[in-house]
Amino acid sequence: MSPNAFLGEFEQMVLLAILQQSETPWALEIRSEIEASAGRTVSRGAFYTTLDRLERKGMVAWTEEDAPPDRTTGPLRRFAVTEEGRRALAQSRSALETLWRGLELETP
Amino acid sequence: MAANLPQGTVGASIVADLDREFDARPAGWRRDVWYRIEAIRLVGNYRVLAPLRDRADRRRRGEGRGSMEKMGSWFGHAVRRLKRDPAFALLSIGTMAVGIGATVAIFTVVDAVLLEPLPYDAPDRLVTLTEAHAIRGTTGNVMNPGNLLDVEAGVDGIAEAAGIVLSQSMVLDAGDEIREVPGQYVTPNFFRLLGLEPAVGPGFSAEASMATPELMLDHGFWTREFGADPAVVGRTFTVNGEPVRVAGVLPRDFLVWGDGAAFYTSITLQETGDQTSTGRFVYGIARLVDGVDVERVQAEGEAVFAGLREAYPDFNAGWSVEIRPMRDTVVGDARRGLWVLLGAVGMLLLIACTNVANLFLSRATERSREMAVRTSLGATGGVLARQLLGEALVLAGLGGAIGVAMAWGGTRLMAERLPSAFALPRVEHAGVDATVLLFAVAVSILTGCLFALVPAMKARRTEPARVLAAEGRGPSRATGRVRNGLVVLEVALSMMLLVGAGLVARGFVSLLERDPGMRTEGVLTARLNLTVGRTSAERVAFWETLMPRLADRPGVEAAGAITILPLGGFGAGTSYHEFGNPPESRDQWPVADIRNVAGDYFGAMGIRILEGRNFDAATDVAGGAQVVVVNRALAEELFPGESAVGEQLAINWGPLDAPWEIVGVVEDVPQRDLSEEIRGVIYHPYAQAAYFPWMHLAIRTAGPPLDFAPELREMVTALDPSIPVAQVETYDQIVRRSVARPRMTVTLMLIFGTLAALLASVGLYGVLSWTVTRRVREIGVRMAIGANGGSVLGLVVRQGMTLALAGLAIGSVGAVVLGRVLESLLFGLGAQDPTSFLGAAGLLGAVALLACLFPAWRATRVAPADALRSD
Repeated sequence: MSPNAFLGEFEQMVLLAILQQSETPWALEIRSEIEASAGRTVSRGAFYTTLDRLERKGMVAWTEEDAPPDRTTGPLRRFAVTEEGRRALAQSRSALETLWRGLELETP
Repeated sequence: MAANLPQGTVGASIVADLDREFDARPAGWRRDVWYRIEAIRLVGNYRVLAPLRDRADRRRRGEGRGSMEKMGSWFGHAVRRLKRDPAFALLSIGTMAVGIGATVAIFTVVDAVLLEPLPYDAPDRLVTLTEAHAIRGTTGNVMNPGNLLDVEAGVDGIAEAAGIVLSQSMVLDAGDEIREVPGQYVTPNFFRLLGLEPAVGPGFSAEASMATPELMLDHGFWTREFGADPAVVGRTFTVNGEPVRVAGVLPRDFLVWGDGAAFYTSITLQETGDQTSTGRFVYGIARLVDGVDVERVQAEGEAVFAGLREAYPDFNAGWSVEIRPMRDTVVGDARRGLWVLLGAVGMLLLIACTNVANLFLSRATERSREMAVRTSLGATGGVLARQLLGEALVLAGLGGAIGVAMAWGGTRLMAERLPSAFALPRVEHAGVDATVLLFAVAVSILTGCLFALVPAMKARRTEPARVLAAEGRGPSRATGRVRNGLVVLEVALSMMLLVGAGLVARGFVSLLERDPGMRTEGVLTARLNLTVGRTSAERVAFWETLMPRLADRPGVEAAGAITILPLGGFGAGTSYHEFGNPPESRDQWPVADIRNVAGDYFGAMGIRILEGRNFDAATDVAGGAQVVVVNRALAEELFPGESAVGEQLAINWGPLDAPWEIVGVVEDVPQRDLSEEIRGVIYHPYAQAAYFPWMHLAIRTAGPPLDFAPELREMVTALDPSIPVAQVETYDQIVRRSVARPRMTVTLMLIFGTLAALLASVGLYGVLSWTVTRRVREIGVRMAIGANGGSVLGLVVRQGMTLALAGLAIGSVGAVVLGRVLESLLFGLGAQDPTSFLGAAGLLGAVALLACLFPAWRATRVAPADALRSD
């Protein structure tokens, strides 16, 4: 596994938000999930570029919905986390857990 | 847009996501403000941050992108986008191929005939000299050789002049066999003046020509008849019984003048003696002094002619000189027809462009929301236009390539297989060359820009708010208006083209249907040349022997001969007047064609004798009273309301002090071409004046005319084996040849008109299909509330036919203007010929109706439930 596979915080949030959904979500569902759980607004541009980057790294894949149920024209992408993404998530988590081990920070 | 958001589905889906969120929000100004802010932030991220990241990435990978790569990817994108929609791409490419192919094909001909410089040395300084008679309206008349020499001497702007006597039947004895072929006389300086180097041999020399006439062989004739043997040069042939030395062979690409010739014999004009006694028979060509323009030379020439009219008042009264650029003379009246054809294909090309622009628009509207959003996100119109342009150029380029291939094949096929169908000077040089390719590339790029223009302008002007306000219900009404406008334009152009084609076609038919005054079918013709070694008495004797023998043959209904057949190309004319009653001034004398006839010429050609009698071989003999038969036009002109028979004429062709008695009047027959205004014709028995050494036989046969040809040859050979029987063909073939050029114009115009109607119907069909798709919901609602299939059908058809009728109305106005331009090609048919207008309108209307019916039928199949669900 390449060093690149180490995930940034926001990348992890995106991947986790996708996995949190019962079905393969589309962009708004992912973003709402992050905003709801992290309690902060997510920049649209940063969100999409992160998705793109994750895709380039092979951690996220998307499929285009054949007939979007709404009346908006234009394609609808639904996202899923790949095997690679899951592995990277797990690895990040274990790395962090290793670092956290034995530390107890107090919040001021 | 490409610079601002990722390409393809990714970018599109990002925009679509934004739209979906927009849709989900409560309507109002807050939503609009939110949308703008989100859009700007999104784009800012991609435009500023993403490129920085990408550049960093690339630097890490050590890559760069040159401008060529950019171009490549620009076209690559275009190709990919087009691949995704093959039906659209194929339809566009096919349409462009038709438009560009037709345009390039016609341009190759225009280029060869009108644009390419003549294949001579400094052709711009070459002019032709002819005579004109203002009162008679005669132009382009052959010159008197003395007049030509005087103009050459008297006009400072002329460096040197030469003369050519156009094709005549000549008998060539090369020692092996006797050939009767067309030959031309030229002055010894003729080829040097043009700047032509002989392909073989030294060419004419002025000194040698004075002693023995010299001869230059046509390259094709030399190859065909002498196996391209260079040893022919220097030998002495016999032409019309006189020894002539072969001085060389002309280069292969020598421009054929007139109908061409097998060889050119030198003739020295000075030897012709008294200039008033020889008539007019020579065309002049001249090379101008550098820097002198044609107008000045013309003015100087007229000044010289003023002197010539004074010096020879009887001979030159009314005559003047015409000096024109050589190209104008060579191309002649082919020019107008060609420009009309080029205009017609230009319109066809415009229709093709309109069609493809329409296809582009319908595709663009499918993506209009995406485009609108991208525009609002900051994509400049330039970016959108560039993308459209890329696709357009790919389409036009492919269409152009196929079109050039079609044009190449087409012109080659026509030039090789149907040279007579073209009937144009220089057309054998037509072909796809660098000029034509350059033209094709220019046309392709131009058309590509043209049909990308409208959609690109639309993309530029897109107002996101309005598109968005349409709440995803599809394209804007403005787009519909543009598309409708394009269809109206297309129908209008097609209407103009079809009316034009109809006018030209009907003009041509009226030309063919015009009563020629003779029966052209069932006649065998041939030319016999009796030049060599015979006195005129011997010639007369030959004809007087042959004619009755021919007439007595079983299967021959009538046999005659004439110096020049009607529609046979050129003519011989003479001025005349009523004997003892000359007009006041010499230049007022009327002019008539004069023909010698032998045997029962009128019977053989089916020319009705209206009054008086036919010639009689027994009484109308040499030494007897001079008799003539005239045509109806001359009789009515000179003796209106009374009988011309028994009246007498004075004819300039012979001695003016002897009367020529009119013994008969025959029906008018066109002499030069079917469309001409009939003028007087004087027929004169060959026995009384054998002006020409050759005659054309006209034999009316009971069976197929050509079946009689072998028998004819036998008879002539039996009578005199030294007389070659040349140019054996039916008279119908001569008539067909005489209308070859208008026939070609008509055929091409009809093809272009039909293509235009087809393209217009495809355009109409496209727009209506698209409208039906757009209005599925509305149609569904109508049907849900009880509209039946018929009323839905009516709705769609009405919309389509409204467009078609608007186009027809505009096109009719345009066609009236076009008709004026075409007037000279119509042979007297009125430019407002109602049949052409109604026919074109009817045809286009029917085609338009068909184009409406299928989308309309589709509309009636809309299931209300589906329609409502689709919203």
